[in-house]
Amino acid sequence: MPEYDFSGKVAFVTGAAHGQGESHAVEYARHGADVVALDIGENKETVPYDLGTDDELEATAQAVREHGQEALTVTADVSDEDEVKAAVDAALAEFGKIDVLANNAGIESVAEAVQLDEQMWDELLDTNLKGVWLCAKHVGKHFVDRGDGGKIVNTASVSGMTGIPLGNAHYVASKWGVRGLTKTLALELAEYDVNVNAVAPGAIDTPMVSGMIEAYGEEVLSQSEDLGGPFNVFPEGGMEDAQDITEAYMWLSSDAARYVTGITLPVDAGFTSK
Amino acid sequence: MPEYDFSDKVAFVTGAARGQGRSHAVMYAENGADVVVTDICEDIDTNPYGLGKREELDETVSMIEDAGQEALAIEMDVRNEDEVEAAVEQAIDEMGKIDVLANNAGIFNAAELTEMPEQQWDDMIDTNLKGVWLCAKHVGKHFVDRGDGGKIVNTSSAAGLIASPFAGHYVATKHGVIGLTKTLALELAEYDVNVNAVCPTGVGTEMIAGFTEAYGEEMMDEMGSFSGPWSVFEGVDMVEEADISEAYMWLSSDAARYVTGIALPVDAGMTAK
Repeated sequence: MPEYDFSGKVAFVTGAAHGQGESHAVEYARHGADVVALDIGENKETVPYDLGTDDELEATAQAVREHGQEALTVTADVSDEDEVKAAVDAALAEFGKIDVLANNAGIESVAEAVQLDEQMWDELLDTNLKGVWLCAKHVGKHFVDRGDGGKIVNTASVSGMTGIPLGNAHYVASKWGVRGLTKTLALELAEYDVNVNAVAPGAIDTPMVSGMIEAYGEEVLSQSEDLGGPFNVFPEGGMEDAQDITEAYMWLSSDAARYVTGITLPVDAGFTSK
Repeated sequence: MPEYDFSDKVAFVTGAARGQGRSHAVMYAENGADVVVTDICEDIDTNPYGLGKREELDETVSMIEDAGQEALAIEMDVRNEDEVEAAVEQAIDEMGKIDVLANNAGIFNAAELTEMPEQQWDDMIDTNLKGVWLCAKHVGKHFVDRGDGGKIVNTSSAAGLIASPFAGHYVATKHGVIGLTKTLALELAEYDVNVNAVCPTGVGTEMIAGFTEAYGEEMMDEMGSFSGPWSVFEGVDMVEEADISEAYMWLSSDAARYVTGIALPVDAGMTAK
């Protein structure tokens, strides 16, 4: 795998208690960055699986420290502006700066669009779309103030490039929205030398996905494949690892991608190639 | 910059006499690969500036050897299936195998679609689209035969995602490269081959300099008045060859093992608008 040099950098990773966020946090540390690891530390009513816990977040911080880097944990809900602002303030108080925002926190739930109740819509949009904007707003303000560039990477999804899966209109809407937000943020922040990009994962082997399968059954994945073809076009099939998404995060956070901005990079084992 | 481990790999780079192709070839070598470099080494009538020369291709070879790797230069017109087939055979004979195809060769010229002579259309489609397919066909056959995976990276363009007036044939080819990329990705997945496209904005190469000299700044300005600036970064008009090469390296590596069928813009925000 490529080696990066993030020594002296500080990465702010949301949804870092487990899954993709944990993977990104630990990998930033492996390449020399200090890490602010944020997660909600409690469940949401309309989300039928467990979200990241404080214990899991502390385990992520430990893994960061095992790479010889500093870790700060913050419990915060990305859908709450006061909590986001406080989290960014805490990061700056601890580390003096942020260099990279890994805007990873997200949730999923299922209901047909004509059945979806308002609370389920609101919780999901507030986390997956508003939360991405709130973190970008407050970390972005820091980037503007300090005048030394910055990187923002947002987690979109193949569901931000298609209409799949069914029963996920709110999720699909949020992830398409992340892609649009990514482009506008890229245009607005270019004058401050900030790159803003999105990664679009396919089906990744994480607690969110296994939680969805446990709550709704295997059909939650297989139904998408009936409509859209296999999640993985390679012969071994199966889900991707969080590490596959992390590799894209690392590249987009590096100077190798200095003129990459406003893009969505699918890491989806060919799902949207059809 | 990230370091990759391409030791024991062989890269086959088209359009490698200068510009982006030379940059990719040298960067593969700097990361440990041996490199087969090809170029047409002659001009095309309907393209109003000179193409890569033999001396330039030889200079690319020197640069690869300076990086400590082996190089093989082959004069090859990507439009000609016999030449492509022969070049791929020669590469396999002399290097033993191919691991990565950098499908970079391309031309860029202008005419309004309602005025364009047929020859100008044909030369563009044959180079930029048919040429990409022919190289993918013959290197792809090798990948299928040897059964050990492979990587193909195709050069599309921001003009493969959006349109610009006065180069409709170019826009068609670059959009076509993305479609071709996706189908190749689906067809070759069972052989563990990844196929992706890179979409550059304007890159400061001889191709762009040649185009500007041939058609004038006014043409560039008029094209720009439709599509907006080629870069959203202040003080940055175009990106460098190395920026495109970085994307080529990443897509050629195991870090991108599950990236396939994508179009990756390295375009300084051009298609973010």
